[in-house]
Amino acid sequence: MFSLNYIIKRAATAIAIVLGILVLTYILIYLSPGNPAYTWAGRPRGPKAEEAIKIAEEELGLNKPLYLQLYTHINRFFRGDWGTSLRFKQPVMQVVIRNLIASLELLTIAFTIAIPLGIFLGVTSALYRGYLVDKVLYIASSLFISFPRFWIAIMLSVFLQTLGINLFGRIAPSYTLMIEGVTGSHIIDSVISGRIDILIDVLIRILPPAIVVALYPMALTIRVLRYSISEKLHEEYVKQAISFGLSRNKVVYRYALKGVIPTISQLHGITFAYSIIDAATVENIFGRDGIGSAIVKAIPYSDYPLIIGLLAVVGILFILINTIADVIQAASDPRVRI
Amino acid sequence: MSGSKVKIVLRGFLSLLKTSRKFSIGFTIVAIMVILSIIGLVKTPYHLEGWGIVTEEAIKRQGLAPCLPFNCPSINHIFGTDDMGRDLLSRILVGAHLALIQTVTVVIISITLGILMGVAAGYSNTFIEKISTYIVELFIIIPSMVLAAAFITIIGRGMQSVLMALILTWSPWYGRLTYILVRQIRELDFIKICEAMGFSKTYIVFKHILPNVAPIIFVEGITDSSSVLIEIASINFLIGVASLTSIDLPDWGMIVGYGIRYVRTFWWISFFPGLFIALTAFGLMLLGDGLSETSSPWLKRRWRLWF
Repeated sequence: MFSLNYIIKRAATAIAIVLGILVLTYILIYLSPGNPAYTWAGRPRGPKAEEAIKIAEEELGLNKPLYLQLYTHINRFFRGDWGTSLRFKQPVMQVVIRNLIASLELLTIAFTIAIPLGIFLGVTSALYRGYLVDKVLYIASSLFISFPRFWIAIMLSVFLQTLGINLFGRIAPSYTLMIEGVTGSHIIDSVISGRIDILIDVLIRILPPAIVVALYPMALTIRVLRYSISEKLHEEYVKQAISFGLSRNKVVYRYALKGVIPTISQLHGITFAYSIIDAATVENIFGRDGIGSAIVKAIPYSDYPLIIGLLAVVGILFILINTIADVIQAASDPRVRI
Repeated sequence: MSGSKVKIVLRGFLSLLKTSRKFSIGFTIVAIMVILSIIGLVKTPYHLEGWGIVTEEAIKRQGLAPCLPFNCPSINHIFGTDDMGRDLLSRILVGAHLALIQTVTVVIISITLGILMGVAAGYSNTFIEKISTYIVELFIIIPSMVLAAAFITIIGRGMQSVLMALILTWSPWYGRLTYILVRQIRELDFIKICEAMGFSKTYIVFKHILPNVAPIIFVEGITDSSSVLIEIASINFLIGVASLTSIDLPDWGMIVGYGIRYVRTFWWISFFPGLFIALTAFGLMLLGDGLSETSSPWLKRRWRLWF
């Protein structure tokens, strides 16, 4: 259904941007004031400082010419050798992947809540424009967009605590050693080990933060659908479907919604990038692992290798998500296919 | 701008205040925040530094209630005090101008950069167009939060690293929007005629393209400012969580972030600054909504489905 041309074009852009990100991370390392090796080693002080700087210099290959340095940097990235995290004393790749999986788990659950609920509420809002339902939904979505999600999460966690429910962390401490860490995602791991009780525990723990993270994409979907569905309902093809005597649900969900899918997929490609900030803040409040808590742990230690690794990986993740969103958009909107 | 133009803008503003309820509510909230920030700059009820555990002498000298750490919200300290015994109301008042200035700086600089980039991409030769679109595509996907963390490790903790990261990640959005608009406009007849008459490109850009593009981008910028405010607050929240020592800069996000380590017992440290962030963002969003609704008036119409 796609032309080969389109796929090649998309893939080429994605690869060019991945390379761009890697070059950018190198520029960030290189432009750091003073000696880049000093920053890379985490601004060491004390007797072993010189040794650490020397190791960092060798790692970065600072004695070679610039284009070779750039080549080494990109080459090292693709080999998976991203240096050692100063805070965790582990290879950066390990730390990044562990935290990324934790964050992705949260975001996936959040978006599976947000998208269907947002579509349903948005369509309802569009069908009853100007009525009480619409007004309530409009106010609610405005509040969810404009209230900082970390603040809502703080309120929720304090509220849960006063009720005596302790939902901190990703998994109950007694369960941590009972499942094998195959993928790193506790949901998948518990299914693999066949422990339903652990799965339920993990899902209950992920629910409150996921709901908070889901608020923003949901509210945005409601607002966008409220606008675009009412626009679509005035179009000729919908009018014709109505005149054929199709039922209301069929007209709205089958025909009007179909015209909005490109908008929704593009919207969520963008929202994902914004939601990762929400996920980062909410993770810290609920005491979960993830990108946010990794950054929080990295900042006081000036853990430069870890931050650079995160920057590259999250950037590449965004490219992936955007490309998928673009492909969905192209698949559902024949006008895009060039 | 001549006098008559100012009058037209003022008249439009007043009619918008009268007709659009959203705009008037949003404007009121934002105006209150601006007034609060000015009050915070001129006079605060307590010293910002806090007195720690206050001595008898200090109480006598200042004639104010003592600032003990972790005071509950009371008459003396409406929003309570934090771990250093600093009055939260004073800190929030001083933080108001920081929040507003940061948001305005990010929005205005990224709009300017975006318009420059978009016009360069949309109205010059294909080489510059390709490069500009590539830069836009590259910077759009860079996560602002991680970039801010990188800048913090390079330059050090402070407002400028967060602002730089946000400007770098927000300006490509305006660049892309400007690019799309410019490409639409440059195909229109009046630009074609100008080109045929031999006007220079800079003249066409400043006389015909910018006046048509800039207002749309500015409305978009006002709509986005609430998101920018929350994004700044979120990143500052992370910095606050990461901070090992108590924070001197009375930034709202940082106060909330630093406060979450005490949130189980001393909830007010995180609650009140967060409330102010929420209110300001809400006001800015209503302001933007009211503005953008004027450009599509059919949105306001109440209508009933006919089937």
